[in-house]
Amino acid sequence: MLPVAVALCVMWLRFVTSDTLRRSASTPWGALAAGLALGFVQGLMLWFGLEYFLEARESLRHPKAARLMLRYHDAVARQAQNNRS
Amino acid sequence: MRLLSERGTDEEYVEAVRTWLANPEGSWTRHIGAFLLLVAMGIALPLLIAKGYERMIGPEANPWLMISFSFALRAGSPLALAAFSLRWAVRVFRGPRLERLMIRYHDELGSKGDGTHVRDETAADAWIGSAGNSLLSRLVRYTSRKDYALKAQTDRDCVALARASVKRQKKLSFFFLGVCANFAARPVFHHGAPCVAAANGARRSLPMASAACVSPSASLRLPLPHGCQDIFTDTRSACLSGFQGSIPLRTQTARGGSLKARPERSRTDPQDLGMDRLAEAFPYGCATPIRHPQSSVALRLEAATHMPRYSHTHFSCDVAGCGCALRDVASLRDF
Repeated sequence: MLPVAVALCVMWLRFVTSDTLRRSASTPWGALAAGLALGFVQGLMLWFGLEYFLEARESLRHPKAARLMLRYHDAVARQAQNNRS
Repeated sequence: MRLLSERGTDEEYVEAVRTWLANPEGSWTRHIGAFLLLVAMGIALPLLIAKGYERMIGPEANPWLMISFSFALRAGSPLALAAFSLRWAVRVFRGPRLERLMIRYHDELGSKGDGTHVRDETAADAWIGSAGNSLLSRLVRYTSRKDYALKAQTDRDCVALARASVKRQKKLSFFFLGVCANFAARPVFHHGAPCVAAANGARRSLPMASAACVSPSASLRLPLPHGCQDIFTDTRSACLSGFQGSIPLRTQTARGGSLKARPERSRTDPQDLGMDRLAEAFPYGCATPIRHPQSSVALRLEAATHMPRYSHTHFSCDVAGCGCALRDVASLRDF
């Protein structure tokens, strides 16, 4: 996600420094696309930021449930192996 | 993304959980670091926006550029957030992957899965335990205070509580759907009610914004609700800082009425945004140092960073043959 966000920012920088947004442009389509893209990038920043925050919060979770899941998983795997042999 | 990820196979997810349990501190640090980095980028983005505005403001500027840019900017971000909410609505409806897998493996095991809880120490226990009474330890305890796993005495309890938790979380998806609809409607609707200026969508509103660009005084005639922060506020701010000096004002409306001879608006009127006084104080379209709450971050930056650029509209040079743009330095200092 992070590389995507960085790539979008770089794309945006290249876009605003191109001729699409020149002041004398007769049609607003370039500005419309630029605004939409930038707004979307802003939203994506929030999106990724929120997801990383939630993931960090999940990392602080007590490991009890995860341990139980792993134990069940290992038991299932062991059972499947016994059945095969 | 590991614990909340829906990508990859179940085996890969199980391995990711093992990795997390082996080094939970590293996982936490990495994700908090990425979060802070993204926040920093979010702060830097308005600078890019200011860059875009800067290229569109000037004497020869086409006002439609600013109008389109502002409108699209206001639409793009809520659309991304609507997509985010929609994704989370689906994710919450399905339930957390950890719990889903725990229940699935438990059901596959049958009655063998139920037993007394056996405590096995992992790195996660060591990390949380070693933090003691530190801030981090208290943070961990605070975040997991409502964790159902802590209430469970046996494995069977834990699975039963996980089932209840997944079921309870399904209700949250409706909340996220509501948030999604709210974000999706934001470009047109504001604060829960149709915005007067944008109620009819862009097609009807943009010509009005165009008129606002030609004359900020005329723009005050738009019945904007108090506190509405929409494209037109941006556009009018842009007009004040860029277009006002460049586009000749119309003195008469199509019906022959005078735009300038309009009734005075009371300063206590909630619809009075202070634009009149702003225009009187800075009549040449200079960037204003006033931070009125209706202007966008970009325009505040514009005002804060590019003030000297407009000085040539205020001062004249007395030195014969001097071609400098910034002519009367003494006056500027006094100003």
